[in-house]
Amino acid sequence: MSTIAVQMSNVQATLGSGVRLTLPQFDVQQGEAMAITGPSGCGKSTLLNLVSGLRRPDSGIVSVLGTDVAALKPAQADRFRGAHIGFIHQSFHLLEAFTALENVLLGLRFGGAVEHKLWKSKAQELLARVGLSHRLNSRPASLSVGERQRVAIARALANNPRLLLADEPTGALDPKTAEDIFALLLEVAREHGCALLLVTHDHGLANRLTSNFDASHLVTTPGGAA
Amino acid sequence: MNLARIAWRYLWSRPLITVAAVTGIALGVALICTVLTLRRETESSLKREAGLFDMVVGAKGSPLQLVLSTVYHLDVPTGNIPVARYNALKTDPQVAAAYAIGMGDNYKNFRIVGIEPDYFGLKDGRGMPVLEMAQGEIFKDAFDVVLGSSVAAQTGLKLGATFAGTHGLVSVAGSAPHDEFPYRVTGILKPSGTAQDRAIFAPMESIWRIHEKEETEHGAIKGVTAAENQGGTSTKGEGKGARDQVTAVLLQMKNRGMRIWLADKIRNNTESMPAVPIEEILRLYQNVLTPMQQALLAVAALVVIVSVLTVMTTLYQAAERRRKDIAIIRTLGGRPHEIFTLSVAEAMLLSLTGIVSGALLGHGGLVLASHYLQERSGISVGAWSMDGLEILLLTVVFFCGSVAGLVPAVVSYRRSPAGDLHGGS
Repeated sequence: MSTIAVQMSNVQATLGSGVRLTLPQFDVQQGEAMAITGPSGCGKSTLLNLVSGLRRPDSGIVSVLGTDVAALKPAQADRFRGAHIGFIHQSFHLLEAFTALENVLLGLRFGGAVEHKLWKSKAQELLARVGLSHRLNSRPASLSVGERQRVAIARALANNPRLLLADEPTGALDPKTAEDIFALLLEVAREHGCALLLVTHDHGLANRLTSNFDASHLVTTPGGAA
Repeated sequence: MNLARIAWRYLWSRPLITVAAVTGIALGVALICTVLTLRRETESSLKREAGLFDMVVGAKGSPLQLVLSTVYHLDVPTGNIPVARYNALKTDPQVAAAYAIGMGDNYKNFRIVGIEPDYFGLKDGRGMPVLEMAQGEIFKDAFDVVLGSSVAAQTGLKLGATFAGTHGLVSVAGSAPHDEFPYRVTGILKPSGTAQDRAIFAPMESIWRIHEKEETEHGAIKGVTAAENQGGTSTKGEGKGARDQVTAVLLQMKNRGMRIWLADKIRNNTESMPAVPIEEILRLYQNVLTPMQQALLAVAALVVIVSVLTVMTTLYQAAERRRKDIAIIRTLGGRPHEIFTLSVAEAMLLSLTGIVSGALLGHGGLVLASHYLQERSGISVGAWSMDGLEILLLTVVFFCGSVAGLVPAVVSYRRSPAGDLHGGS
């Protein structure tokens, strides 16, 4: 079994207005926790979107857990992502119409990796793991931002992902809550044995991960400037 | 969580938007139901009553006026014909039943219709009795009356109550009631859904006695036209004294095919005029009501189009607000058929709720209005009935509403979910 979780080679992607992202080589090992840092607009989030199959590159190979997600059709990419990747966003992206428990259940429902009869117990277990067993029936609007991010983490773990992507997961949080969420992310990634790719502006947090990728030079303008 | 439950939760997570959308659809659907039901029921009610009698024989004038005045109690009669004409028709071998009626007075705008007791045996085309007693019994004495159901409801007259009629078919300020001839209520009819509900049935004898006295008081009334006395016991045509006249004779034929022959015979050999109710009503429809119907149908068509557009735009806007949610579900691994099913299920639930609410609103409104319509026009509206056209139009609204739900799902797959996640609401 390959020990490489993500392998990107000769990837080029157009971000708009002719701005291009170029990535000759990028590897993440299984179980590795890698921080992706760099200034705003340098292509950090685009890198995660390419890995998750939410965005397709113009050229190159994006191999995730042995599958070239760049070659998948949109629906196939969605399916692959649901089955193997957990994605945590800065703005949580919870479904406001549903409770914390239901948000995690939806992750299980659409991910399709867990047997139907185990959904509820699994969702309760995950929410208990992130410290929210007392807020199962709360809707996102009634949760604090820290609690929302915990729900998002529980949902991302619903399908036992082998790759966890976190796009500025602490960007909207106060320092104390950010520290708690960061610690939780590291713990659950370790517990689940999944690779973690974490985008952050915070070099202090980045330095606590096993590896660090500087994305400052990914993007080139048409004139050639970085 | 199944997709229908997810869709339902989505709908009610935005109660204001959902209620606004349902209301828009419901109002359009209610209008469709109302227009189509009124059109259909008016037509069928008029035709049903026209079908009660195969022919009406009355004084010469407008055949339509004769039919409207004697079958629907809506217009003034054309005059009177001799009782002898009634007797002759009664014994005609082609006639199954002949009912003489006399009109001339009213009580609070309800016509007092003079009849013979056999009129209570009137049956419709299916052989079912038209007039059935709810309370009391048919009259025995000359000034006993039986009230139609609407008359009893609106006047509050009970069994045993007495009242005096007033000359003319409508109440006119200053008209003196015939206080010397009080009527007594001996029976009240069940609602029949026909113009009979708005009539007060009295023995023909009472009509004759009242108008004999009028003749005595006012001298001969020969030559007084129908228009002049609001259709009262004018003797225009062949009549002589009040007792020698009836307003019209309503006929049921043994063989309907013979009515043309009988009509010709009456037209050629007497001073009376025959009119075939169903022909007059069809002519009225053709010349007057059909253009109105077409206008109503055009309105209904516009309503359907507006309703469908409302459904589509409302659902599309609602679903557009869900672009981000669809992108999240795609991020979680939602398959295309699940996204499409979810989107369409939401649209279907919204459309169905709107259609059911609208149908209840439209038909429920007609239930409330039907009482008024029945009392004012004699038109009986089967408020809860639906026909094929109405069901078809509601199906079209449902189909279009459901299709509208497909649009955002299709659009979603033409965009990157990454864009919707960051650009959505």
